[in-house]
Amino acid sequence: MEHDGDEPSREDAEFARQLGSILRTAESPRLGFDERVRAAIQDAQRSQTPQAAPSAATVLGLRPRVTPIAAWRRRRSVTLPPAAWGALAAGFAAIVSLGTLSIARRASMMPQAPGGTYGVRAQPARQAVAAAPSHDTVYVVRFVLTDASARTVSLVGDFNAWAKRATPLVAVKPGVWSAQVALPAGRHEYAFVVDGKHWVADPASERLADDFDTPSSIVTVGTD
Amino acid sequence: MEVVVPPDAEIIASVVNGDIDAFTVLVQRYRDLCFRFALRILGNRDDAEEALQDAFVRAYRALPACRDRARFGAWLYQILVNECRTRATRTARRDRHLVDVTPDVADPASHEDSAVSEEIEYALAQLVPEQREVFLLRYVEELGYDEIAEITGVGVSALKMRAKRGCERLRELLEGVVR
Repeated sequence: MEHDGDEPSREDAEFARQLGSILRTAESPRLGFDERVRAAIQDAQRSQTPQAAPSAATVLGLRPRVTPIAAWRRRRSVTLPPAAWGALAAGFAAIVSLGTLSIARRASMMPQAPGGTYGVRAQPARQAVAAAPSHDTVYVVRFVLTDASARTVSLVGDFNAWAKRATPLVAVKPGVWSAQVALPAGRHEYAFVVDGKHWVADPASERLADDFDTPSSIVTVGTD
Repeated sequence: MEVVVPPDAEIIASVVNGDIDAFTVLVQRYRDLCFRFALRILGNRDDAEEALQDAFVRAYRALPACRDRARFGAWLYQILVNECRTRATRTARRDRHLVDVTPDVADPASHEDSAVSEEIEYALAQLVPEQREVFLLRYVEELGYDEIAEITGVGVSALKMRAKRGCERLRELLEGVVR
């Protein structure tokens, strides 16, 4: 039975305040927490809106060149159930899902790309699989890197001016990093940057080395 | 240079109007305070991070229903408290009461502080969850009983009683450790 008016004695309250001051030290979640929240919100939104197929305008409204933020904002336009994708593909839209199985230098082997929550499951394909390509269509490409010891991973490529901070990958599960990017049809060069300094080519994709032997990979979207 | 810090209500209006990135500002604003509470109540970082992440996601989804946007912090605490209660119940069978602090052993003074902190954390874990909750909100986060009542949905008189019992128990457990 709890009685009105009961509260800690002055001595107990003073003791509690002393404990409180000791416990009032700053605490922070681990690095990348904000990104994980963002990814979780994305996932929640995907699961919230799978039944609503977007209009043609929504899909075709994607511009070929997009920033990562813009791509994130438009995520609902590509989060469709398989049936909806099938219907759209017949007419005017296409989606490419590229799952890249990358084993970085320090990474443990992983036999498959993480199961996607998207309409199209990521495939361990060397190149993009396209359906009903159109010049106006952009393709959502999912990049996945497996690296258990990476603290940060970002994607660089000709589509983001090779900017290391432009497209961070999010840890979708321990050691599995993922990002999806809207790309126009064509051939694109890209690489992963691990911990802000190690450039890693995608071994599951066509590899390319420039004049300085910097590793990169190729992804081709929108072609049969 | 003048730095303008937009109030919560303004940021929430942006989020509700479609500027999803604005929510990151709220995450950054409340992340550490909320994490400290979740960490103390749940006792380990993994659970605390998961609870906080889920709380933010729930807050995001329910944001249009947040009526008093100027008091977003209290509203977020409500969600977090519920999340922690659910998670604590779920993980009650796990005997993981101690916070996985990583003391700076290179500094003897810091090491000593950490040892005291761990004693306190251990004592805190001995409280029943209801007492721990009110102790943390009252004496660590320094909230008033009215605010705690709003956050927890528990009446003020019951909160005071819980605080009283919790404080007495802590004093029993920590007499001699903290002076």
